[in-house]
Amino acid sequence: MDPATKSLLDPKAIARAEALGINARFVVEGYMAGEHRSPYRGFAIEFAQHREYAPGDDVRHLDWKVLGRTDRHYIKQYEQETNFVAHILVDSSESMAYGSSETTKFDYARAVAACLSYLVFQQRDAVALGLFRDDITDYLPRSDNRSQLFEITSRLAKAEAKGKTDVPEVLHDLAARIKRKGIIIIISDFFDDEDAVLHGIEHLRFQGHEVIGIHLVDPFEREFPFDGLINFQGLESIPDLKTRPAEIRQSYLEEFAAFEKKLKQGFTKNGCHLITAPTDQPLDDLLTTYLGRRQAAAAASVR
Amino acid sequence: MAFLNPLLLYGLAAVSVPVIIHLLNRRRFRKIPWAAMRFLKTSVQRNQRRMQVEDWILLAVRCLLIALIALAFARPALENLAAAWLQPRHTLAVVIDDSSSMAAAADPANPSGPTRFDIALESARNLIAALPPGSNTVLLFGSDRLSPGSIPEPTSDPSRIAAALDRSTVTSGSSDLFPLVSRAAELLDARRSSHEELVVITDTTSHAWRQFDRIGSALPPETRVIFTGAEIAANLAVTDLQLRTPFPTANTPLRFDVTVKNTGTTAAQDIPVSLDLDNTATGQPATITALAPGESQTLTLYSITPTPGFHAATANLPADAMPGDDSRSLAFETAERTDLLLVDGTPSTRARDSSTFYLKHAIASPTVSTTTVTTSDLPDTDLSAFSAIVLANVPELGRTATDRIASFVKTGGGLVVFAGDRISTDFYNRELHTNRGLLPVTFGDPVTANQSIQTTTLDHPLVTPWASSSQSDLADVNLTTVIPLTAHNAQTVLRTNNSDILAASAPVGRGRVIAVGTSADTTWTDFPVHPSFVPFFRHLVGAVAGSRPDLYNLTAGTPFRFPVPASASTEVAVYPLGIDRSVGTSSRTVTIDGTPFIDHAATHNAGVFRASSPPVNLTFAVHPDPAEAETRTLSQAQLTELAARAEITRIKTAVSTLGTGTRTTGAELWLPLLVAVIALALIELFLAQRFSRSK
Repeated sequence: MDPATKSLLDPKAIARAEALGINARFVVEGYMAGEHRSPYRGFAIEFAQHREYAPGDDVRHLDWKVLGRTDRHYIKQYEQETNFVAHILVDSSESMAYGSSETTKFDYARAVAACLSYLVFQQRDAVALGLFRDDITDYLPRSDNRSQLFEITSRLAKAEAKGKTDVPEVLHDLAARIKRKGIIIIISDFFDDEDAVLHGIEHLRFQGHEVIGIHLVDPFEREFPFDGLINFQGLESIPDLKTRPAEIRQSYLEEFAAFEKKLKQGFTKNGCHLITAPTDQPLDDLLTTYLGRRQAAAAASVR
Repeated sequence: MAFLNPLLLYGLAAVSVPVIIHLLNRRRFRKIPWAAMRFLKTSVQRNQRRMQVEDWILLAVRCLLIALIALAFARPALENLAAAWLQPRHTLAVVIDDSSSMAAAADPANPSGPTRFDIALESARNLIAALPPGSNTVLLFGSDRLSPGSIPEPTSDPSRIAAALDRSTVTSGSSDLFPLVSRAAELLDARRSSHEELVVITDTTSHAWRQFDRIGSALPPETRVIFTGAEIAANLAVTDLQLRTPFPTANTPLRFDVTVKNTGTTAAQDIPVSLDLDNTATGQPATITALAPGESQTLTLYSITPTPGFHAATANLPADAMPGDDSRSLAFETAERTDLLLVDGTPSTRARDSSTFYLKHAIASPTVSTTTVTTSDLPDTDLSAFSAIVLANVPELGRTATDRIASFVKTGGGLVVFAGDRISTDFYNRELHTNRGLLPVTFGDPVTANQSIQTTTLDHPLVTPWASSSQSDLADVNLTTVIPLTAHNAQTVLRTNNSDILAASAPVGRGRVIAVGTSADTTWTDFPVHPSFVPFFRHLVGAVAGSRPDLYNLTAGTPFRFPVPASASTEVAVYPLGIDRSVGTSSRTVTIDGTPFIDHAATHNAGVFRASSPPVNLTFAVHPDPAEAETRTLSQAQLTELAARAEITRIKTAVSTLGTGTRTTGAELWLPLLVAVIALALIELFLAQRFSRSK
């Protein structure tokens, strides 16, 4: 039996995959049942057409502009793009293996990817999964079959965070590979050359894709709360560094904040969303926050 | 620069401690995997140089801090630094020996030059002048006790110290350094100054160091001993002067025994010894032909007092290097005549059978008369007319007689008690000894056996004339019956060959009592018919009759205390004999147990003095301790042991050899170092906090 099959049949791997799936379902359905319930069920929501108001219709969807212009009552109808593909890219480089608590960035990334996959499948859309380091190491082609979710979670559960990262290279590669417009969701810490990363984002946008970045940040990476004498052992073959962290904390925070800011500005400039996801933030909060923001943005574009 | 605690400079090695801690800390880094190295690296690179510089600064400050602490403990001093505020505060205790031997010339070859005491004073002045400003001085003058004029508490008043030094004089005291040294050491121990030192200034005689071990133990760590004056090779001293005439009477020859000792290390020849009476030369001087080193010789001189009353005899030697022992005075009292009362316990029609027969004949002389009574006559007898009472085989006394005799003795009268076959030992033991405290012995049971007098232990002053073989041998005396005596605070005068006490003597009140454990007649002994009996009995009675010489003759430093009648004036004047009384001291009598006393404590100087509390006028003499005349010095072993505990300086003739400031260390720098340490500690604290802030 080949190792790949064996790993697929590994009870622990199966358990992890199931756990991811269960968790994703739990989070997403929890979101769906929550206060942010919206008719805009799904990921990609666009206005399709008007129809005449019939008694019993939800008056929230009344097009007030049309009413004002024509004095006629019309209801907006929205069309979910039923054939969009969500390309979920998960950074599996060694830097993602860091975690100040039991949950590493990669664990969080896997959970986010699983949730998003579940959500997309709920909308009967397609999901493609890509795990990358300095290139795409594992790729699951698009599928709108819900049974694909298990395969997605299996791939995610099996993956390990190791090796160096090259986000820009992956983005360019993806831009060249994917012909049909879709949504590219990049789940990474983006510890790479920001300019190069943003250039990759630009390439994707040029191709017509919608890009969503989920920037994973460990709380310690953001706060740098260390004290005493620390020998920081670099991941991804970066040399160790000994220092007194308390004395350089301010400088580090400035550096990190500048990085986040540049990244954010770059994404915004390209019309993309960048969500900063601290790994200590509950997943449902993350989804709730982002999707609610997306819906508000979409509603604004309809008016 | 000098260091007062140079050994503590090894503490500088502690400077390596911060370096070692710094190096050890390099191994104490906690390992943490880290992903965001990019940002960390940039931050470190941006601040690395500054952090290194800060690290070096802190290390340097900490090393300097420890170095300064080690230096401060080593107590560096700069001799040429005159800053007064840097000078340490000293407490100096100076003990100056003012005993009789300090009056000797510092240089025996220059008898008229400075004395040892002069050298001592000058040394003290130089030492005190060299002290840093604000220092305190204790000044203790004394021989075996503190002399007036001392400054026993620390003072920084230079005028007070100078006045005390100027006023001080040598005394006739006998030196014993231990009381003064221990007091000075206690004073220094109680002080909390930066530097305490004891200086002992004395001469080279070993007598002052007779408590050598105790003195050594009492010396504080910083001690200096200054020996003044050269050693004296030749010295003669009058060590004793005694009046040997039993009943000193005016206008009768008085025999004086003068004892001269050669305390030097060279032999002396042809030594003239003269005798003054009441400060007037009298009689012909006698000559001691030769006196070897350490040898004593007693010679007899005679004089006559023209009038009864108090007189003083002074034996003189030619002046030598130690003038304090070249003369010695003796105060004594002569009477017009001496009357003795003999109480006969066995009166008889046959004179020879009475107990007092032999006594009466032995004592009778133109200047001594006797009155014989029986016990029944005693109550009516005026005892004040007599100098002494002899009880011869008296069975017991009635209450009135006992009272009167007790009062007689306590007010200065003498009592001699002879045993016999009729005495009631119970009465003498119970009443006279226990109840009255009159008899200093108790009588045992008679021992009837042939005994003789032990002549190997004739060391009591009463019987020393019989100690030499030139006198009649008391060993011939036969004792058929003896009542052994038990002495109670009494001196043994005679013993039997069985070592029983035969005769004992003790002062009682102002009088004196002698008890003899055999009869005064021939019933128990043949002593009354022995050739020695007459001089012996005259000596015996003479010792109790008249004034007690020990009341009027004192060793220097002993207070003169003499009871006076209640009717005497309370005003007391004491002045040197031959000097106007206005020169002397005035005081008042003190009352002790209801009795007024002349109490004169200023007996520091030898000489003859008059004490007057009208109608009482008497003479007393103060003499130096003969031991002070010894010229022996400390042994080499003692000097070596002393040198281990103290710095020794010898000043033989001139003070200029004592360098001022030989012990000054210059300005000590521990205080500015301490200030620097505190400042550095604050700087280190500030820098450490500042450098550890986030950048």
